[in-house]
Amino acid sequence: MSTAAPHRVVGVLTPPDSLDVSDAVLETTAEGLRATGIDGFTIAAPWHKLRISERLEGVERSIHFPDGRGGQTTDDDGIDLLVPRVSQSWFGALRQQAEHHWRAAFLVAGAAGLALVLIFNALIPVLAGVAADWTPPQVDSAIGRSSIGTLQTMTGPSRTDPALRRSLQSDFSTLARTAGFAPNAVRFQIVDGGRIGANALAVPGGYVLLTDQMIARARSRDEIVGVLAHELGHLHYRHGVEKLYRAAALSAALYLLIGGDGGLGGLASLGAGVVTSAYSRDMEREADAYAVRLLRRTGYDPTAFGRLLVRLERETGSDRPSLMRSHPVSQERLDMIQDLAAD
Amino acid sequence: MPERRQNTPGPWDPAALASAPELKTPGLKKPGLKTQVRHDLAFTGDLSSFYRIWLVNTALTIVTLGLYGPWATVRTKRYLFGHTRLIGTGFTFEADPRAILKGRLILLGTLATGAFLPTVVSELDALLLFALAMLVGIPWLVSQSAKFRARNTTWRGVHFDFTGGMLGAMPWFVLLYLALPFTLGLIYPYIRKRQHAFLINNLKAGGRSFETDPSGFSYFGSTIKALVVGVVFVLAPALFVGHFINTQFGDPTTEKSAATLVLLGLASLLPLFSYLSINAVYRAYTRNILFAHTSFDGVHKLHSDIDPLKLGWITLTNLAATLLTLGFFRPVALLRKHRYLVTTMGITLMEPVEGLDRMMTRDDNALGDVGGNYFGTGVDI
Ligand SMILES: [Zn+2]
Repeated sequence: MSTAAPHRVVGVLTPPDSLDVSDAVLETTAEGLRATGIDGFTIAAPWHKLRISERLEGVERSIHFPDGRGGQTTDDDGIDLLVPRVSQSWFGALRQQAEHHWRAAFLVAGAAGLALVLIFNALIPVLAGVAADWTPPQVDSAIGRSSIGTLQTMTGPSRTDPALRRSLQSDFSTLARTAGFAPNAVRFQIVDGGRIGANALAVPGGYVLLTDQMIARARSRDEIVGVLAHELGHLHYRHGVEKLYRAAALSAALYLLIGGDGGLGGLASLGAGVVTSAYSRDMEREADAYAVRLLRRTGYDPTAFGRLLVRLERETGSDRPSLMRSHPVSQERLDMIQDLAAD
Repeated sequence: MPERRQNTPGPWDPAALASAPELKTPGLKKPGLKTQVRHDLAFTGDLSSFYRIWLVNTALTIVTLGLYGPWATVRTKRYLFGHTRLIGTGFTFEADPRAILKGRLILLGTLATGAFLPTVVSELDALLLFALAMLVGIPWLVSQSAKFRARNTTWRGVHFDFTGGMLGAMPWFVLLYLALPFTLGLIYPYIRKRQHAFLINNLKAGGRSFETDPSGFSYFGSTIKALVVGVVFVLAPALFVGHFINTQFGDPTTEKSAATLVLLGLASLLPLFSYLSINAVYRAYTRNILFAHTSFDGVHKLHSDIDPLKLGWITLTNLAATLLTLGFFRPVALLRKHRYLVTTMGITLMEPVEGLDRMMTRDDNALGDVGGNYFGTGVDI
């Protein structure tokens, strides 16, 4: 303690026998602190038994004595000078500066904004990727089995011409073999879409599902094969598990950021929706690029499925804003697919 | 008068202090005749300092990946409590953030385990486990968070405490909900009343008890009032606006501008907005009744004079502004609501107040804070 430090701070103290507060003086003694009330009563305690609350804009500092009683003072500077080793850490002092000056507060907030972008764009995807790499393939199958169960209740047996089905099966086998999947590591099934309509799905664990309705919309075999290659891309990158990890990391991050603040719940779920659809878009692009490479190697038209996507979108009409859509706008995807195929 | 002490801590000499008795802080009267004096709560926080605290809190929470969150929570509460003044003195809230952090991590772990459970055990087992977790978990969280909040709050050295436990909370926070469908929801006001009674009757300050016994009938009445107000002032306008927006802009085949999309997004949130505002109206009605029937240590009376419509309006506009500003209105909303809730409260003390104990019961239990805001039963101080 410097010799220039003041030796007393004025505050208030609650006398032992009433709810009154009385003006009091706080002084350092040889081994600690002593508070003396105006009526003459005193409390004293050694340093290690004292607790002094941190500095906070306009809130009185509490000085807790071991018997449960305490004094309060508004003299922030005084108390910090009086008891520097108890009242203020270096971090507390820095934080206090930021809380007290607009410019510093905005500077800190700006840095945090950058950090937020990094967390969502880099940290979560990278961590999810690492976690997916570490996950044994059995987990994919376990997840897949439960989704297959759900899908079975929504779909029915296929009504597509059996000859066409057989030829698509052999296309699929060609693709899977060229892509380097082990025999029987991936399976392919055609079903009546029922409630899921014209669709194609990659289910973790190695299942590719294609609906009759999707086949009906296609104008050439290459379009369908392209879709299958895209789904193999999802399986190759194990997007299923990765998506789970990303979603888990995202909700954990939002929970820790917003914590118990119920009032921000709506905003959090909106934010989670936006980030999740951005993540899905990344995965779709990755699967598209994979499909283009695979289709070129196997000799199919690498751009055909892009045209199917555009047609599907035009026929069903898009009623959702693109911000919320999980697949990138199909025309955009077709352009990218054509660019990739032209390389 | 108390402002003298709050704002101008002069560099007085203790000797001068002792020889000037008129400097003594005006507080409660000295022993003698018992008199009733009404004291209303005041709020002395200001938006600019609270906004900076919020910015720094949010920023530190982000860069520490959420680990700073509990410290932010404690600082926010400490600011709000500290500037909430009774007879010129603020309330202190001094929870240990490490305890809250531990609680949040435990809850997060439990939720994560719960999410993976269905893949390990059968669906029925998972359902049973979930039901059991709710049966025990909710009343436990309710009583723990009430205890945590009370035990970390003091005023002029008087410590609050909460003595309710999990078993005491179970009937009112879980079991009676099972009766909702059979009574067509008519039992709800009674549930609400018993929840409030549980939270108040177990609250202590300085070793003395708060007591309440509002009639179930008055809660029923306030439910009807809240519903009527809700339908007339919130639901009907919300339906009208929602319908208008959808018919004008909702056509899926047309191209939409960004402004239209924002408008449509807001329209989709109208049900949530309506629910939360009606709930605020309801909260106001029941809180007024609850406080009118609440006493402390048998002789001191509590007051609450919230205007339900005003609280509903504050809630609605807070939500809309928070969403439209992507969260940046949040501190304004928090401060505005807190200010209104506390400045409509008061207590009539039978003075001089005697017999309050100042023994300290500090509580560092882990899961204290996590349930607090979620249940929002609206009887916090
Ligand atoms: Zn895809």
